[in-house]
Amino acid sequence: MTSPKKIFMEGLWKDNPIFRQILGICSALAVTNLMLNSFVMGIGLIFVTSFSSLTVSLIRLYTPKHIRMMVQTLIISSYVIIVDIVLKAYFPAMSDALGPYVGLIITNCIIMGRCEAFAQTNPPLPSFLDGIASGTGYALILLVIAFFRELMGFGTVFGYPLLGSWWTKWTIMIMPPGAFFMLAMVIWVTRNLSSEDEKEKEGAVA
Amino acid sequence: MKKGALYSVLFMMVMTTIFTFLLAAVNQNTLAVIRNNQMIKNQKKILYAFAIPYRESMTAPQINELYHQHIKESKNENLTIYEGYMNDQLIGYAIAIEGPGLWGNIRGVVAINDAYDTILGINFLSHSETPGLGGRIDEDWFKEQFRNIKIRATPPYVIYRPSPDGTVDAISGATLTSKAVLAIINKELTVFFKAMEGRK
Repeated sequence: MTSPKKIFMEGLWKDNPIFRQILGICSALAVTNLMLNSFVMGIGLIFVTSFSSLTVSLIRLYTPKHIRMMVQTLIISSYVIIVDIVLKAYFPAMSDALGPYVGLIITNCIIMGRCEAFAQTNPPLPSFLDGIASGTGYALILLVIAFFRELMGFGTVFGYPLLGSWWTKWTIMIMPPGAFFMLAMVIWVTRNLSSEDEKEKEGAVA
Repeated sequence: MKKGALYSVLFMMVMTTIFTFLLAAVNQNTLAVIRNNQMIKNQKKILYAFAIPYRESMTAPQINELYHQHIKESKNENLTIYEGYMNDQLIGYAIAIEGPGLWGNIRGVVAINDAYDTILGINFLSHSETPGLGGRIDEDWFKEQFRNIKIRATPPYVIYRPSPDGTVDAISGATLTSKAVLAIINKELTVFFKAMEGRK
């Protein structure tokens, strides 16, 4: 059984969904122009990934292999709809801020990726933790990207003005090109920080 | 363990049934709350358009009461008209507006005074403009620009600065959304004035 510590190390850094697996890029580009949007998106994804992994793991022994993806899609979309309904009913302001992005969690590859790669072959508890770890890894990277985009684009952090009026707003940072620049830079920096792992892997292949 | 086709079909049916019931239950239990949230939200937005003050801390029943104190809904042909009252004195009319934005339809309300020559305020009920760009039509600085502005005698009733008659500023970085908003307001005001011609 994989230890929780290892699961979190993998999800947060070694096997981070964004800069290692390059999954979930669409939403990472779309919602990161404001930190609040990224934060709620991250929470939503952590919830959906962990509970989907838990459910997939619980029924993994009874699920026929050839229809497992159909089953996963059903499970994932159900949880996403629950998130959407709960936000609408009890956090209407949050729901307004995120708009259509909540529904788009369904299309996030990270969730199905974790169901396939981990939950399908592991017991429920580690699968649940793995979902939380991967979701957190995703949420943290989103917040890092959003921090720079919002700060440079609006001069604010979580909506609070941090830079004074002297700051010339870089409108490009809050437009789609800014997302690509920031994401590429985050991947570049993080890959450089963990270059040793890279060499090990190359050695193993050779 | 070899699982046959019949098992797969049954398994999928059972799973679908379970999840459908689960979702239906969640939906059923929150339906009233969501509908109420929506209604209160719309009431607040209409109050805002008339510049009738309310506090964010007010509870749903309080908002509802305030709304019915100040707003009376009436019909003129197919047009729903919200009549705004302050101290039992008619201050103006609000109408629902709707039209295409950049990504989807923009819905909102615009309030006009009872002499039909000044916009009291506008508000948006729903839109799908880009968050942070066109989505900024929701921000106060943009909406407050429409407070008590004289409208032009002939269409287009409202235009952007720096045109000589311009009264409001567009949102930089969101030209298409800004244009769409004015187009919707001008179009709906034309419809409204036509419908009210008899009363004018």
